[in-house]
Amino acid sequence: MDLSDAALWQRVQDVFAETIELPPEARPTYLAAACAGNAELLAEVESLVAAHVRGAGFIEPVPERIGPYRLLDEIAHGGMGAVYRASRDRGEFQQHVAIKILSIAASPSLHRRFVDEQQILATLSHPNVARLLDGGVTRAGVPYIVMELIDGVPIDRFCRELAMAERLRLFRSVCAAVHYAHQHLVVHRDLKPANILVTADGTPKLLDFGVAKMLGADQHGVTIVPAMTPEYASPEQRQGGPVSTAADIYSLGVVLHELLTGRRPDRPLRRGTLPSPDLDAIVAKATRQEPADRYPSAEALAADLERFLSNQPVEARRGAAWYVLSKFAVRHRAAVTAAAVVAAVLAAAVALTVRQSRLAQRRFEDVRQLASSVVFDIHDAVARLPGSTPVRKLIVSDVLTHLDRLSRDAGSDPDLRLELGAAYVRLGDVQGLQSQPNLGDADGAIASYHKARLLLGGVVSRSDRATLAFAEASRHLAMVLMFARRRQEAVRFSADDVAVLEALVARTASDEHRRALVGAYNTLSDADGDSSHRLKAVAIAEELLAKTPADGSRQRDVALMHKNLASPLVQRWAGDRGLPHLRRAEELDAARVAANPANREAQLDLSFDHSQNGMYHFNRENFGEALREFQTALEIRLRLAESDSTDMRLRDRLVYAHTQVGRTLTAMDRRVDALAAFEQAARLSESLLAAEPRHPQYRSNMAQTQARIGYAHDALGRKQPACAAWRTALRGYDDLDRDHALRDDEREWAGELRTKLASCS
Amino acid sequence: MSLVPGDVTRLLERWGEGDRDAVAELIPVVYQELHEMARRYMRGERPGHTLQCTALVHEAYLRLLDLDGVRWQNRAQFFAISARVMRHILVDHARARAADKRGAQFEMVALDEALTVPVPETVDMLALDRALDKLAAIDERKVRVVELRYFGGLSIEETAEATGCSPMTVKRDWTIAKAWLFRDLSR
Repeated sequence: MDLSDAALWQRVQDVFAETIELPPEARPTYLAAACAGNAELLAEVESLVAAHVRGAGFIEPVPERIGPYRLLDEIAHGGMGAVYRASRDRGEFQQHVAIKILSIAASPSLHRRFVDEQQILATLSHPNVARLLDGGVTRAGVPYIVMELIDGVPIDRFCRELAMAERLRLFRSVCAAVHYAHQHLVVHRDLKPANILVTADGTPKLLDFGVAKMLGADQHGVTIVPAMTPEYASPEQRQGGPVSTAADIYSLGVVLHELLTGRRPDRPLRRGTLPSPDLDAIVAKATRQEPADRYPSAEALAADLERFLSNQPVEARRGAAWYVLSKFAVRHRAAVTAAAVVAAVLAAAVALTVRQSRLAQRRFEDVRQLASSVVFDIHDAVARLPGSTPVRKLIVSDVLTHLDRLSRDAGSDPDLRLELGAAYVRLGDVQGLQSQPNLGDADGAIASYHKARLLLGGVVSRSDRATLAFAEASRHLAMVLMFARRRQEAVRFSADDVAVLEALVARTASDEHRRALVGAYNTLSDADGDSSHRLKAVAIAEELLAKTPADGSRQRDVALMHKNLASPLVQRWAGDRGLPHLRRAEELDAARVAANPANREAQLDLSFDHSQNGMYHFNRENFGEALREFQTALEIRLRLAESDSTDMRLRDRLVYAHTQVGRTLTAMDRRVDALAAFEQAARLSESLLAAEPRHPQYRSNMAQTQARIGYAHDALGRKQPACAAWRTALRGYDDLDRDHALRDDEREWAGELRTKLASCS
Repeated sequence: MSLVPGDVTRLLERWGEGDRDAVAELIPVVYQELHEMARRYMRGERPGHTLQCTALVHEAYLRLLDLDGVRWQNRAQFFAISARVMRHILVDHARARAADKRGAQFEMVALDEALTVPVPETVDMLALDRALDKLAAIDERKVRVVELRYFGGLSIEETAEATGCSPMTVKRDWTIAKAWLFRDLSR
């Protein structure tokens, strides 16, 4: 349809505006009438209305005010949205509240979940449960709820100051609140100390019913839910089984153990860790493996604690003998228990079939949102900003918790496993893939890639996307392992990567898949040191380029392969064998620059070529030639820096270029000029360190540059500045050593500096 | 860049009087300021605040403009510029990342230099940018409303003030533009 037709566009807008004012059920009738005979108009408005409904939260800014509340700051955020502290002016005084807003583009299932939660909370009114004050939809159509803002400390912290009996009394109030919620058919499902705050006057308040689900309306109702915080989650939650009120009883048992001993119980539970055998028995009964073996209610748990406090025999210690002796007495109870179990199983089966599809959909969207947008976007947006590391670490640990939780429930759903696997790969990249900004957490990255491979392994042959994801997980794992000097393992996983991609290419012969294979061969060469893989890679890359010779990204692939091939061959022993690769890389990168002089990436790539050429000549002691190449590289980078002074990577590369120029000038015995080059490098390093003082690469650069400045001064007969520079350099290396970040070659530098400094006064 | 608030106000006034060069002088100031502020936020120098581009734009306004001397026309112009600058900052950033991503898989190399390549690509901002360009071809005013609301963080009322339309019209424009863009991005 031709939307530039102004009249039609005007009509579309008018009909759209009218339609969305109507209740959903009235819309089709209105639309049919308003668009009578104009199918184009109808289709256009219908799809816009659908987008309007699904995309309520899309690009919608978080408002400064919601109704009478003014948003102050964010106090928490999770999968569903963010929680803000907000205030309401009420004449004399200000009321502070917590507002939870769905802050991401809302999908129908998320909306539904939010509305569910709101309804649940609205039915609860208890002094030990944080109150729901208000709820609704912002003017933009984003749902929110307003909750009581609790000013308190987590119960475990509060309990440290209390005597045993006081702790138990406090815990009884918690049980009472949980029991109250259970009576209203609400299972909390994520009970843990962090969700139980105690206010200054000693009142416990249960928070975060955000994960609670309304139990089925009939009394057999059982919901199926993902396990939440694993340390407190019941076995059935951890296994993704049906969850009932017994799950909360289990979590209460774990919390009780922690409040009494300061730590969570061992699995399986060891007796004798608690201050009394009675308490041992109570925790054991609350945390039984089988839901039906636990206390039948939170109230029953509280009652047993009451018995303990008043020195009466506790229910939990009535063992098998008691049952044998009092068969008659228990007959009734046993019947009830058996009936309850059957009912629960039946209800679970029903609930499974009814709710599974909906639930799977929800989880799926959870993962999708996580993997494809919000969290990683935020991470990416801040990654380049100096000093963002703490924020990024926080983001990563959030994502990891969330993914681990979700993957426990992934089961065999292939789509979910694929999404989760892909998400773990991205997480691993952020944690420790060296070829991009990362948190330097190689161990974390390795763990994430392993999880990805586990999830993807079972579905690897189900779709091309799954194959590619598995390959990527294997390749990135190999890269990080190589960086961690675990070469054997790296070779294994890199070979996996090659194997699945070779099979894929044999099947599809698609260009895209062949391009992935190029990367796989390249990495395998890095891992096992056998350049024959890389020759295969370059052959494929050249073949692809031959199909579309002007394709810049294919030109870049080929150039990169040649650079890699040339890299070991710039050494003197290789003779002239590196030259063809150097020339081909330069030729392609120069063509890219010529095609688009504004292409910064191509410019930078070309500067790498010149730099590599410089190394080639430097190693062969053609210093004049080397200097020309290094200076060309430097000039390109200086030009790039002029147009964007904020690019930290470029600044880092400038440090390197100045250093290479300085080294060559040193070799030519032009010490004064060399000193000037090193001082340029030092100034740039300083500016990088100002932004990120603990960055190991920047610190290493600075130390090395200072050492070189020292040598230059020394050669010029200036002992004092030489010694000063050497001292600075050695301090830098010692500092890196303390952080276990010193490389072997740097250790040698440091040793040499110590010798030099011995000659200083 | 050490401009005092009065300078920006004067630049806006010059622009208001038809001096096109004033815009050229203004944009770098706004750009620099927004970048600087983003960095301070990330360093945690402003605890308790969430990083929001829109908050940055508002703060830039407070910092850069001489509030006593500013007229409402200047204010509208300022937000129009800031919102556009913020759009470009975000889109450039996303584009740079997307470009880097293309070759990322090959860059574990033993070059004499450590090639560092940033972060996985996120198409959202680029797709939004493209969608905005498409929408501009149909209805330029809607795009200005989206820029002011989304990138500039203006309320419906403030957007109305900045565009010279009624709040009703702005709300309608915003709602339909949102649906249009969401549909385009979902395709």
